[in-house]
Amino acid sequence: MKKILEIGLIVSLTASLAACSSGTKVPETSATTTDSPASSSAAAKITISSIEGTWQIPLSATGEGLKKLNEKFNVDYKPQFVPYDEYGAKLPVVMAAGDLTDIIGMESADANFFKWVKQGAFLPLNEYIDKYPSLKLVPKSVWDAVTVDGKIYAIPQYFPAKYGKKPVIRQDWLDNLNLKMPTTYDELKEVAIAFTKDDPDKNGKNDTYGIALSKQIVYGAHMGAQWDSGWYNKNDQGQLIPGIISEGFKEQTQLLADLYKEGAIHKDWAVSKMTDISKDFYAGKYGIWYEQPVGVDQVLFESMKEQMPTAKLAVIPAFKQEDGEQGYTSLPGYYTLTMLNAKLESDPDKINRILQMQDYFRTFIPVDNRNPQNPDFDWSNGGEGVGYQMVDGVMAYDAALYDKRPSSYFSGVTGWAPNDEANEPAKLVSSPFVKSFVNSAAELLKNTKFYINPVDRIHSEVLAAKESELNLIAQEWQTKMIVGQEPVSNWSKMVDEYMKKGGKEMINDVNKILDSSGIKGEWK
Amino acid sequence: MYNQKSMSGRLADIMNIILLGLLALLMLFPFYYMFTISFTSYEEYKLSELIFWPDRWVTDAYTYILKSKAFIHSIGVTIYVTAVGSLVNIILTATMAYAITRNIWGQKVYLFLVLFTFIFSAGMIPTYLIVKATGLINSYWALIIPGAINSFNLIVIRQFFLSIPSELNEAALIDGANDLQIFTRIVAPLSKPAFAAFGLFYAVGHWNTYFDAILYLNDPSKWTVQVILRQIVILNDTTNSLASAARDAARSGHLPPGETIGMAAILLATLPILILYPFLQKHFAKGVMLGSVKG
Repeated sequence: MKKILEIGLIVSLTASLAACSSGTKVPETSATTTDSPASSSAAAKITISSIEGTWQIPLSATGEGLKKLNEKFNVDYKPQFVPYDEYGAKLPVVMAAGDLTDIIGMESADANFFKWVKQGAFLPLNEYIDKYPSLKLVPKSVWDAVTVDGKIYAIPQYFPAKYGKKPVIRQDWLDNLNLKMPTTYDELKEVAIAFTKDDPDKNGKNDTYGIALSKQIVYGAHMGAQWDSGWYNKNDQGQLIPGIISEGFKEQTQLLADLYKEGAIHKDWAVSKMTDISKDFYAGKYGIWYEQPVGVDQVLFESMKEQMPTAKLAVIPAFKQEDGEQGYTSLPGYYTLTMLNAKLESDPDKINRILQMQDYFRTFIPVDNRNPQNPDFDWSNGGEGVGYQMVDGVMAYDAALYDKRPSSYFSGVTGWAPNDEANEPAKLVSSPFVKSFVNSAAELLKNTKFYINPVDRIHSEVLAAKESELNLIAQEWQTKMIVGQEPVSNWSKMVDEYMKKGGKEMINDVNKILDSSGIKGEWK
Repeated sequence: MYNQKSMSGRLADIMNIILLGLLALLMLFPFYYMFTISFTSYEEYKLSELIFWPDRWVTDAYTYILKSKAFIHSIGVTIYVTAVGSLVNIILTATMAYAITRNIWGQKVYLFLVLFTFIFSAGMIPTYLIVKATGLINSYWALIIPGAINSFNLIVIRQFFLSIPSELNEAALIDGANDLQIFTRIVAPLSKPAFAAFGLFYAVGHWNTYFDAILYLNDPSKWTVQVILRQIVILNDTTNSLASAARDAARSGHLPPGETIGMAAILLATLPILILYPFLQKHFAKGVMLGSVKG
């Protein structure tokens, strides 16, 4: 029996070794092949396969939208959608198995992205950028994020850098209490306490809180670049450091600790889910929370208005910093990446066909032209009455129509707007309450400065390996500080632990890369 | 009847009934909650802390789900995979379990191989490579064949077979039955309760197929109901305020608006497998070896 066990172990070990070695091999070419690689005419039908993550309910592989897409571009497009939840698990398996498709999507330029770039899985795209107008629109700061040794390995998809989550306040509560919009942390503290104790909704009940907060300190009270988690602050050696251990963050944590003590933050925040807190905010329980000008939940807003007809939301303008700057940290300027399989190198027709399709869907249609009269808008949304309807001048469609819309099959790809304001988010919503919020938010952000986090533009392996683990350490300390189990004055102890557990190494590495690439944090 | 038990005994019974009854209700509460929420309007749900009885009963959530063909289709797919899969599971598990109860050559080796997979299992990538090499990618069989025999279930069924008195087999042998006949005429009928129990385990496993479906099936129209369900009820749980905005925006307009639909979807996805239980219940209850050896 013992002998058999030994043999069995040896066999299994060899088997697992063999499996591992095939796992690190450079992915082989896709299983699908082109119909006519030699032909250069656009008339040749090309089979194009893709794999990408999705947040949607899956689309039919025989949908009308896909048929239209195939006809228009003369392709046989075979998209594969994987729920984002498991995409991070499936993609490496597909890569290792050599099943890689022609087009590969990823949510962001993470550690795997750079690993695969190094293994030569993706096609460098530099020579193609200038050929396509929508690619030329991408700013350098965004290209930086997907560039390795001067080679661009991915097409970033557009997401407005300015329209991330911003702190919003109940303007009607401020008005009720005759308070003005806070401009410093002291004023913010006063306002939050007044929201808790002075019955801001005038219902005669002590049922409100100043700031809404959920577990893992989401989202906190970040009133500008100096106080949030981006790499803005510097240490004594002049190195950029992650926001989470900065003095600014300490100030923010101190505020949360003070507010917790005053009862202006819900006792159960550390165990509350973000979605529940959000729900409570729209039910009128909290005075300050986070919201964004694009993709808002209109039903939530509507229900709030119905319940509290006087409700009014406003984005809190960024506070003035000690260094004189004033503004929020911007988003990276993209959301999701599209890569091409390196094996396509020998097939320029296919590359160009793919990029044509990308360019088509990446071409920005001004909001005022998004109507049935615009042939591109009408076609990509499946045609009026088929894939969508116009309601009050805004496009509307429901779930049953997804697969009738060609754009659904390119859902990760949106038009690259010439600037964030061109998105005119207020025109895309129908409810007047949402419209007024989005309008005022967009207006405020239009004139707000934004800090471009330089770390979004580089790749540090140390950062990729350590950051999330280190953040958890800091978060644990800060959670204890906010609930009063640990004094905020112990901040330096937290920093020490952070540094010892790899923070120092990470900061050194990031700064070295920043110096050598000449990338700096900049305001825009 | 009444006099048989003392006063305190009866009191204890009553207490037990009350406490256990409450406990049972507690178990039912999540279902009740799902049920009511699924019939609540999204607006009402968003504004209320806890809903026991909605002000207005609406069927919006169900209309929404049933309108999209994907959900219904995926239920069909899952029923198919569950039915075929469980059948394959039971046939293969039972026949192999029977084989390794017999005193045949190599029985120990086979048993060892089974026990070996009980402890060691290949990783995801090697398994994927095998599934790929056998041409099962994008086929429902990829959900059925790789897990066709669960080694734990196999061992338990084997034990069950061993507990059948060998006199029965001997009697059959004397009557001229071969192994196959012994299995189909004697062992299998006696093992119905075990088959029902493990059939249910297998069925629940198939019904809950989630990751395998994502991994092996590339065509979304083949996805099982759990995959669709996950897409419906998944929440944006990014703690990063920067990434969170993009995700919220990416999801808005493409996803059903809110938890009421999620509740309805969960209910619809749980119901079919729940219905299976009462039908198999009687098999559990039956005495295993009742009257098998007489005279």
